[in-house]
Amino acid sequence: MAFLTFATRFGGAALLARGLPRIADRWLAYFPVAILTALGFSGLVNVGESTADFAGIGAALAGIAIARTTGSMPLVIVAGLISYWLLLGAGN
Amino acid sequence: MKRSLLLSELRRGLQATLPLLPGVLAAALAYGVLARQVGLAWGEAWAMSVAVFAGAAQFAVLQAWATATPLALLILTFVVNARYLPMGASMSTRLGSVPLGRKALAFFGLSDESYALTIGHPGDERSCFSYFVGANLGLYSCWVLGSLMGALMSEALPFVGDIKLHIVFPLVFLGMAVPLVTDRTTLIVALAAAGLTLSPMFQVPVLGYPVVAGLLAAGIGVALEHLGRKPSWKRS
Repeated sequence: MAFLTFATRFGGAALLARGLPRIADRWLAYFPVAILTALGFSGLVNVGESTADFAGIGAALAGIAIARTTGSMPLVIVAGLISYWLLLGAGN
Repeated sequence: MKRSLLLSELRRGLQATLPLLPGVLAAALAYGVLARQVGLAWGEAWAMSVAVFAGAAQFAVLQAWATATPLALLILTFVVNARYLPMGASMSTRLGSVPLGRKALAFFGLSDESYALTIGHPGDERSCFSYFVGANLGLYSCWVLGSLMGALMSEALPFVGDIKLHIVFPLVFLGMAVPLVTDRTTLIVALAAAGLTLSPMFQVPVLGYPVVAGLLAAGIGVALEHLGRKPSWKRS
């Protein structure tokens, strides 16, 4: 399990050592914003659990707004947590 | 020989992990408790954290521990960790000419969080590498220590899973994604990633589905660029 995990972590880099077609290079340029957004929303919103979804979406929007206006990660976390807990409590 | 690590950047990377450590610690404690509950000895649970350092995969394996074959557990490990392949490739391009051997050592600690913290680093390759190593050290230390604590004190910590600090990680991911949205193309990519992730067709019991949404959304960016929309987000 440890070796397989390391292989997935380093595999992409090892393959890149052989060079990269331009289209793959451009694709990798967009990958960070895509994967970070996907991981963010997948972690906050679990489709099918309505109360938690509502709270998760609220936390996501609060976090995005704070990130956009302040750029402060601690504030993003605090705003997201507060929004999540308030919305979760209001929904129950 | 020129040293490859800048201590100032390593320290900054370590400091950048501080807001995440409460969430990491809670998750690590929960992992330790769960590992003991499924029958692992405290040493086995801790060794898994030391050698693997992949929270999602470790939790997934524990949940399937009692019923899955060893091969099934390996396949599950690969599926859950598959997102690291493009992440590793992406991070490797960011680290540029750092020797492959040093990248390999640093990539042992690659995680969603260290990737998120480092990928937007504005410095050169050497400072980015140092920052990445610092972030890995902070997260790894907390994860390993928390796993050990959870495994040793499992009977006293059954409540850990009820603390909803797990949402700290996705908040950090979104916080890191926001500054990467610099033009219409990257905004469309971000919206596409969010939409694909939340769409019903991606609601399948496979823990790697966000990476599929991310891959497709990144492809949309390439397609838009090919159609004539010029991106402004650049890797430094």
